[in-house]
Amino acid sequence: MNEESCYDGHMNSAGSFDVIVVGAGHAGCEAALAASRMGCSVLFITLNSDKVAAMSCNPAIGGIGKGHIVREIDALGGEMARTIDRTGIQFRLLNRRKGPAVRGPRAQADKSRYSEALKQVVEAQERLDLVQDEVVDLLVDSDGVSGVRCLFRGEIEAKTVVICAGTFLSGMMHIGTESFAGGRLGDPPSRGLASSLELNGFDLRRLKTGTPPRLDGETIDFSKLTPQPGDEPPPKFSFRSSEVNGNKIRCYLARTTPNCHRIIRDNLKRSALFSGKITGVGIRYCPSIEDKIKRFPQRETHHIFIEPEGLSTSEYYANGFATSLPFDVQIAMLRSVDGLQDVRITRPGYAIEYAFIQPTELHPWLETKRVKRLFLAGQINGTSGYEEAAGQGLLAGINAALQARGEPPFVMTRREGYIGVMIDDLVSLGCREPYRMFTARSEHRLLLSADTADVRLMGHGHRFGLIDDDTFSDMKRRQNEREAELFALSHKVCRDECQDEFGNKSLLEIIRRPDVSYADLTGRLGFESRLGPPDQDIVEMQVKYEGYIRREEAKIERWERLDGVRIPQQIDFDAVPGLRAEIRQRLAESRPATLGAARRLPGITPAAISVLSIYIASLQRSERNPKPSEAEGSRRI
Amino acid sequence: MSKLFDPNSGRRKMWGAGLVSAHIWIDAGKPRFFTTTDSTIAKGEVELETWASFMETPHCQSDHSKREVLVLLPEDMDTIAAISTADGVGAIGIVRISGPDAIAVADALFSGRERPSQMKHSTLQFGKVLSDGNVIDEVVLSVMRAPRSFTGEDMVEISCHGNPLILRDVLRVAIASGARLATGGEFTRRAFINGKMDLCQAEAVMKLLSAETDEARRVAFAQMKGAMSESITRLNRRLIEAKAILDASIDFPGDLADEAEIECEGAAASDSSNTRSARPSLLLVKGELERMIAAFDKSQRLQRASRVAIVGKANVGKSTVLNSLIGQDRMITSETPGTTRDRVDVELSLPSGRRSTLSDSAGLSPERNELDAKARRKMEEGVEDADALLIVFDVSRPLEQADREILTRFGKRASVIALNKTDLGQRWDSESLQLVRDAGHQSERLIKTCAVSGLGIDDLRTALDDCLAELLPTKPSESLVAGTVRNRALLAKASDAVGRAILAISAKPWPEFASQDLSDAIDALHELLGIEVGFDILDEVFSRFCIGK
Repeated sequence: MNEESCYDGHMNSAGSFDVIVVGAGHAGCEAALAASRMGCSVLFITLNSDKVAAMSCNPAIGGIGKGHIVREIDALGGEMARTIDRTGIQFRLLNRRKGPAVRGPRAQADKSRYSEALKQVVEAQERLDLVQDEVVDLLVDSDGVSGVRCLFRGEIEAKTVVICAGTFLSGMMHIGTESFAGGRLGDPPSRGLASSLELNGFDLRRLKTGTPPRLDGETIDFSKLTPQPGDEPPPKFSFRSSEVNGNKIRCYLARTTPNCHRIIRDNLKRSALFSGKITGVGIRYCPSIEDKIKRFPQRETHHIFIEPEGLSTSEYYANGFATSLPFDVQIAMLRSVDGLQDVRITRPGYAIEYAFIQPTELHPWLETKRVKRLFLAGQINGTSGYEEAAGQGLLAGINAALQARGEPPFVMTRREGYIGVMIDDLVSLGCREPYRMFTARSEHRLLLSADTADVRLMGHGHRFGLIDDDTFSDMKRRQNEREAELFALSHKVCRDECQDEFGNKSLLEIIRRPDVSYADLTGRLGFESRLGPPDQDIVEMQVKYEGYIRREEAKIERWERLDGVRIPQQIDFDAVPGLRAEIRQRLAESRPATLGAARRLPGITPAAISVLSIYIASLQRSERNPKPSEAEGSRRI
Repeated sequence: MSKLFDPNSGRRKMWGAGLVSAHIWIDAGKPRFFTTTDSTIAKGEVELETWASFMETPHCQSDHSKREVLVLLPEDMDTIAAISTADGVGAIGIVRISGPDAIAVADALFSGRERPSQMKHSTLQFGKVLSDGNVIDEVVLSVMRAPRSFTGEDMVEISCHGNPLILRDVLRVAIASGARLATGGEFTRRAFINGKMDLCQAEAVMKLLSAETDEARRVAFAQMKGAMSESITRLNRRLIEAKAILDASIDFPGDLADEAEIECEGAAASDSSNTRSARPSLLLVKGELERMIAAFDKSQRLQRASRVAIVGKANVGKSTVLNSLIGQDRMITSETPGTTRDRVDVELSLPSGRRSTLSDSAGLSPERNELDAKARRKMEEGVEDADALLIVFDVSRPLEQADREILTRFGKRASVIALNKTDLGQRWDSESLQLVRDAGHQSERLIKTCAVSGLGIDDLRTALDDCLAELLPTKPSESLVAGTVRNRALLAKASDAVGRAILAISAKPWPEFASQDLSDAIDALHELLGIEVGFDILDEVFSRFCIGK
């Protein structure tokens, strides 16, 4: 333990770091940037400093739910949105035809430029040292974590440690019947860290995910595929970007054929997934192509989205075609698809199994309950996706910095944003499969529009020093302008020509109608709007959603009462009378922090909540008026 | 949650423990009085020590200040006892004891071949109940051990001879041995809290105990057996399926609508067709919920005895008809018009065994003073409350304006018509008779009576019986719902929400509205069933659709 530390960078005055971030993926980058921007000295350790913010799987960021998270990251002062705005090569707004709350921005990324751009931001950041090394051990004493031991640099002390290990914890890849250790094709796994976590009492479990083959664009017959252009004008992710890189490429759509399905069926037994080699739990919403064929045999065709990996490469990503079948089968099944008849695979698809820690081990501010000042973020908590990882990384970074500064932790509530929903789901329910965000996971979907992430969250970002004053006051100004517009709408009636159609109603009442849009208002109804199109959308949404939002808020108020009732940490659920055994077990496993969190656990009945609330009240009462006889007191409860 | 506190005694009258939001009135630094924000919960006086504890201690500086706090009702899981058979003399009466010390209490009061604590689960033993060495009764004692009893706790039932004095004595001994007198419905409430029955079933047991009529008892019994829970669960299933379609179209537009991600025009069409495909199922659920609410309303009328109001012009013999119907001189009768002023309710037994409340009030006559006006108001109230009317005419005098007014005002309402005073001769012309018939009355509901002699009174009873049977039928399918007011409110909430969802789907292809409405409906049904609130809509989505890139 007395190895000489040979770290040569700048530390804080005490000769240690405030924060060490392990892993430079999407979670790690947000964590390291946030903590250093909050004034902490940060050591940022990666296995390979050429792979900062690498996009290991699909070449896209955003989508429905995921795009919402990216906007929230931006509102809190994170980096993902600005980087994709700069390096995206095709931008779209999904669900354009549905209501604004469920519209999500999505962009194709130039993978290598995204990685380079984010690495530059990291390198330019003050108080942040990016180094290549491998963490082989955690330094833990009775008071929590005190630093890490690295392969090259030895022991390095820190007040807090954030682990964002991604798929590298005991990573194992599978192609057909072949298996080999690694965190990503071409990169070795991290092993020392995994055993160090196990030695500290963490129960490592395994999950599985998969990735499709990459194709040589020179060998694809694009004339047989359906092109998919981007949206014009391209929607941007960041509230803080002035413009986006724009639409530079097209994606293409291919379709599987009955012949392709036959090839897959004939070779199912050679798939790592069905041969029993893989023990980790797979993802229902990101199924491999063999999964799709097996589970939905009646479907005649499945989509393959052919997406470029970047501008300076001719590699394409076969989205929707994840597989762990043997290489020869991968070639045969791809070549059975129209347009891919002569295709050459540059990298095979594979399945990867990796270790994760049940996130019920975490406090809602992402610190482990078991080891103080140790934070976990990203795939190690059972999630899947760059955006989910980045959202957690940002919160872990903020909380590690707050912890290092001796300040109380920050917990985002479910009504504040999808990141809050995600973390609450993770820490109270745990993971049975990789966790991906969907809008359906939020009970407050209509309140969590991607357009309003700034109103919901910029206050927090500003408070932490991650959002500058100008940006914050700009958000406030726009909010005031929207208020003014709403006021104007409620005090104006439509012009005379339209009186027949709408009568003497205010413009506010008119736009409330589902068939009237803002374009009607500013067009034939002659309203002079003072807002730009994005703010008009928000105003329209506020008006159209109003009744629903009111109902939602009433509901939230009811639940927040339960969220306000804390369950004492030391509570013994076995001592609570009237609880069924399985409910007792469930509560003991997840140890929810509040009655609200307990209510959200599966299998917890309202009766159980009643019983629990009564028990807590009786505990508090007996604390206030301690009974003279100990024995009598416990019998009464 | 219904009444939690008895407003008169201030004592806890618990039903469904839980969180209650209430205003606490502070007086001289101490909480004195609370009113709940939910008006269905009674007001009560605060005895802080005995029933309430506060999540946040109220700041008690200002007197008479009102604060909203969260009141938690403490739960005593001690041992309770009660006489669980009806009051009065019967062949057998049962004293029930439930709770952690139930068997110890039995040990203390019972003398038999073996001690109750040595008895196996669900066994019986003959023996004696003793009090200070004296035998109170010879009894059969049964022991049921937790959790396999009605309440889920250790339970003892003592079957005694059915004399109220003996039963009370046995109960007294049980209480002296460590049990506490149970409050109304407490056994059922414990069964619910211990997960032995769901909320619907628990409420049905409560209903069963308090059912006024035979019909209500049958309905309550069917509900207890889970009939209602079953149909609600079925409807809920459909709502979850519909919501899955909507949510899938929101979260997975490209996967669900085949061409949606590619061609914009195509996207609009297939997106909305996905959304709309939920519609037929929702219409069906909405219809079913409405049917349940209607059945509920009908069963509400069953809960109380049916009501019949007697109406007619002054001095046509309404009170005499009433006296003859019930077979006693309940009302004062005289030759003077307007003898009856106040409204009087009496109980009437009908040939089928149906009980009905018959209400008599002042006859319809010109208002001459304030008293007349008040009497008339009473009459109108009686008519308002009634399920059916008994309209009385005097056939010995020609039809007058007041009679015609009665026909126009009440003729359309379900009623039986008594053509009274037949002994004084028939002065009606055929036109008058036709007028009464035209008001929509079948001939079997037109009964000629002479109330003073009792002529036609039996026919009148039968006609009333038939009329009520038609109004308040008791076919099992329609009697499914015999819930409480809470059940109806939740059904209505669910039905409204489904209605909004249907409208939302029809109005605009923004599926997130309808999805939100369906969440509300599903929440209401879950609350009705008292089952877990969280459910995974994604499980449903993934099991139905091939999702994912």
